[in-house]
Amino acid sequence: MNFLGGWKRHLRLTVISAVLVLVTVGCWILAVQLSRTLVHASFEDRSVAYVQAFASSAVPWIQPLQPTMLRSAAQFMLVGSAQYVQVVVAGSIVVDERSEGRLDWSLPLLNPMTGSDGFARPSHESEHVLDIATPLGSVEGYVRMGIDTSSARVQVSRIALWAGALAIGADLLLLGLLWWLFGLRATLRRQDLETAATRTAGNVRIGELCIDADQKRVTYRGEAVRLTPKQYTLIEFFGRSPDQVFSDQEIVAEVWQDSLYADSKDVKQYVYLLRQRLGAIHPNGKRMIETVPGFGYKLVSQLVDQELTD
Amino acid sequence: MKRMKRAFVFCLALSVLTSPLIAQEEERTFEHRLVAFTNQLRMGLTLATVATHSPTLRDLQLHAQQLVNLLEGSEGRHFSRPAGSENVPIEGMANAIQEWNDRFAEADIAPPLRSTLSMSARNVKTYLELALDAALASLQKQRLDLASGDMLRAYAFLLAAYEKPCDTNYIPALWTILRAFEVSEATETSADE
Repeated sequence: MNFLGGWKRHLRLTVISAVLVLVTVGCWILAVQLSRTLVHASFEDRSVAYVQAFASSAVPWIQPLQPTMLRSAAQFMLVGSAQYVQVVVAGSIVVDERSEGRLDWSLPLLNPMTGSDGFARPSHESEHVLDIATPLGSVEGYVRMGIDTSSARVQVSRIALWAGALAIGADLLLLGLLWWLFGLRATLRRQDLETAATRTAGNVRIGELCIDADQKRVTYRGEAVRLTPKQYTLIEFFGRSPDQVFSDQEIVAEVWQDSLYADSKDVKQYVYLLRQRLGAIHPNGKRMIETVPGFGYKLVSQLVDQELTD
Repeated sequence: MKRMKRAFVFCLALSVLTSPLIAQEEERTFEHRLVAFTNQLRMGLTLATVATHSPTLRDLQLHAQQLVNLLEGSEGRHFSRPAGSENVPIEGMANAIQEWNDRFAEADIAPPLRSTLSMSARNVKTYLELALDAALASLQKQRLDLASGDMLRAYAFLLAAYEKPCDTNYIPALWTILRAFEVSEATETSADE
């Protein structure tokens, strides 16, 4: 039965862990998708603004036409993400500068654009290049530029990596906490069961000190401790709650239930006698019943356990 | 002796005849350089504009470095030659404007105009230095928004150096010099000149 209970507990724990891992993986995928959307949207916005900035700067070199300056400006653009720069005025190409590897790309002339036209879309040649066209405004024509999106992809990968590391960390932490809590719960349950088992058998065992309620007998390391009925009642009372401090009144109320005249003097006397009996079987036996000044007495379980190693 | 005297007179006459031509040529060269400088400044403005809107920090810093190169020239402390470019010396705009300032001080120009021109040249130089500081600051930044702010600052200083006339009071700079020499800015030259 115990084995079955443990197996069930482990199964439950495994299922909870698996659900937790699945939820984390789901959150990670969601975060990556969200960041991908946001990063690409932001990148596209900035890229369009970048091309528009170039277009606005190019207009003064178009009216009157200064192709050398326009070409120089276009060449300045090709150092970074820009893959090609094409300036078309009145249906004819004025500037067509391209970075290496893009020379054979086809960039057919577009229809005449008005102020509200323009586009940003993946290039026909490569989906990793954003093809952006923007009208020149006061001049009939447009600027077309290809922006490499690899930096946005790198940024998304970096976010995914960080989010993954965070998710794994959170998972490990939560799973560790979960397993620890389950372990703690199991330990507490086991202890409860053990205590309950001891109590139901009518015996109290504290280290080597054994109080047999059925036989009204106390043994220490298997050796019988000779006690009067009242002394036995007293140690049995202490043994029920080791390390708990009881006041004289509590002891009287429990041990001298049938006596109207018992008081703290009796408690003191019987504790003394009990200590003598315990001291007779072990040198430290007298210290098993400890006086807590101002409060009362208690049975020291640790001391009883320590005796084992003496 | 007679032959020597004739030769001397010929040389004297030649020098008298050619001197206005030389002065005219110098003047033409000066105007040509002024236009080239103006175009350089406009190119600087273009770089600052596109840098401000760059989609990535790397793009922004590449354009910022291009601007630094343009302002400082190949002799500059922060000059960085782009990979694969020819090892041609580039005159920095800051040096050019300093040279003009010296020339205005020595030139035979009426004092009020000379004063205006010197002041304009000084202002242009100061604006260019401020723009250079801003561009250099952007190179140190690790965040796109902060670097973009620096390049916006560089743009503002370059625009002030360019000095497009406005309705309100404004500080004289390049536009005043161009007007003084009646030079049109829209003349074709290369930005590298």
